[in-house]
Amino acid sequence: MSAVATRPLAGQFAPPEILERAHLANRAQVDSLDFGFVKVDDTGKILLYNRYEGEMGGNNAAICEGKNFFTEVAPCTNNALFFGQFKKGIAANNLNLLFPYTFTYKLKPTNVKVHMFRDPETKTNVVLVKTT
Amino acid sequence: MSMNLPKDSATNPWHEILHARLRGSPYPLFDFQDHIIPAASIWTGSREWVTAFRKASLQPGDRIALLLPPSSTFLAVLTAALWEGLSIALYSPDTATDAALLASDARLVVSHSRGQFVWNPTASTSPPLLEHLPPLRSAVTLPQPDARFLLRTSGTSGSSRTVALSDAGILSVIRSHLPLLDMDDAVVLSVLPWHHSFGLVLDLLASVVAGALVCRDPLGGRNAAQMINLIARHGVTHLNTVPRTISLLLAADGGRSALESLRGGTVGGAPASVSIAAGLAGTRLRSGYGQTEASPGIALGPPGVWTAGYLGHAVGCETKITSGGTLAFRGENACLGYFSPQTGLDRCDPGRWVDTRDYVEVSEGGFHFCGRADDSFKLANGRVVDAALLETQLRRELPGTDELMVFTDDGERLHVAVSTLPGWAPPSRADVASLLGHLSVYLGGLFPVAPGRFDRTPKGAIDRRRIMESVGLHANHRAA
Repeated sequence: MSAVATRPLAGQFAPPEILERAHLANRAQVDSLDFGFVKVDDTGKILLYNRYEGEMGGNNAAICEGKNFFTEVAPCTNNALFFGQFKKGIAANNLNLLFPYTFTYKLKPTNVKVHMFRDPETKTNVVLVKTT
Repeated sequence: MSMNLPKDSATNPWHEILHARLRGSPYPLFDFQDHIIPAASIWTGSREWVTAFRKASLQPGDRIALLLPPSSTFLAVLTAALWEGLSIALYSPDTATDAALLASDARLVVSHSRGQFVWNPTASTSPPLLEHLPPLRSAVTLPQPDARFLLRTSGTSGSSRTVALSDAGILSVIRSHLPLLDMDDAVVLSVLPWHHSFGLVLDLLASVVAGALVCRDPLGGRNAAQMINLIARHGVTHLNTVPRTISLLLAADGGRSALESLRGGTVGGAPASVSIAAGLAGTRLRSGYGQTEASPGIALGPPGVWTAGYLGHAVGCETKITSGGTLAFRGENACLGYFSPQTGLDRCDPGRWVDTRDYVEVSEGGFHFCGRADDSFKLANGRVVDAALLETQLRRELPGTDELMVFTDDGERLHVAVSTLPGWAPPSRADVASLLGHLSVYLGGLFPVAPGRFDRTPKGAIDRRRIMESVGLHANHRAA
């Protein structure tokens, strides 16, 4: 377990232990979550993509894993407020950002909360998504 | 981020623009502070409205009234209505739905309020359920497929009218103005109302075409501290606004440096006073001039060039000075005509000269505003007082003048209200009388107004009625 204890953000939907143990997460664990869980490397390449996010986005893990989340799987996030903030957080080794966004799920705009988090010790990055 | 705009008017030009700019795209990106929506989701939201409009059998040129605040729903409805070639009447969200329906002879209203023929958005940006679409109203007048927007003029200097704008007119203004606005990678702080032509065309639609990041100020530019915070927090590069908002910013701590941090933007809607022009000198903001009838662009100044009343050079249209001294324009930007809910669209000759009714002086630097022809009034003895020209003369001759207004309340006397720049004493009655020449016999009151207390309309033009009231007088006399 990472030694980093994360202080929950206002409106945070993911339990702190999910963030703290993100580097150890396996497929069975993330597939049981009731929110989207996408683990990415520092470039945005998807390492783990959970069932919830796949069902909402009409994708599946086998197709998405290995692709870049921001530029290939969810290109609507390739902007200053999403991918731009991710890149800033990676550069600073400090990323813990919660913000409202509008994804298209099942051909409908859907309000979501996005939580981008980086564990500064394990260098594990996750993008968590919850419909609101 | 810029794109070429189609010129072919035989087909709906918005199809190419909206498809290329929005579908699957991360930009334009709108941050409404409580939610963020990228172009891709505006696109999918708009498709739901397209489906609903088609289910309701709306045809190109059918009028709809849109009474939504700036929001992702506004964008989805607007995009769908443009896609379907509907005529879109835009109103303040506070407008009563039945009043909007009648004023635009619309088939439906999109609003968060309840009422007959009202479509209430649902969910994030969605239309009413397809199974429960409200019935359409029967319009009295014919659909006009080429009338894309119906916009009310402000009515601050004359009676308010509903102006019909075409796709060709709007796109000609975007095409002529956008290359000058340096909007690549722009982060726009949006404070203007989107139901007025300046906010709609030069703030919103120009940002969409440019693929900008748009940070919408929920307070619409009414709070300087919030604007300053948004400019700093979002790295804002552009601000399009009116002089009144500029004066708010200049009076606030950090406002001037916030303005100086901007890469561009247009200040229009009303002429800049001496103090506002001085505050804008040294920024990269530019003067913009136009009217709703011009879709709404007529002129732009270079960045940072400011003197009181400076309007800029003609952009995208021809201009001339009429024999009466007012500015007229001619070109693709000219409106289609005027709309009446009783008689429909009254079309104007597309090749006409349109008289702005604004007195201007022309120099190498461009146009300088001298006043509104409509502000003239007639004294009871039949003498016409050209208030605008008289004000220009007095402003020029009375040192230290910031604002000045000439008016009558009874048709017998001519009054002067004046505010001076800090450090200057108000002019004496004798000074004013000597400058009035043969009109000096009519001089009634000379009313000094404290600096910064010259009442202005929301756009920043002199609010003539309120100034009269503030000096204890009321207009009982009609204009000339």
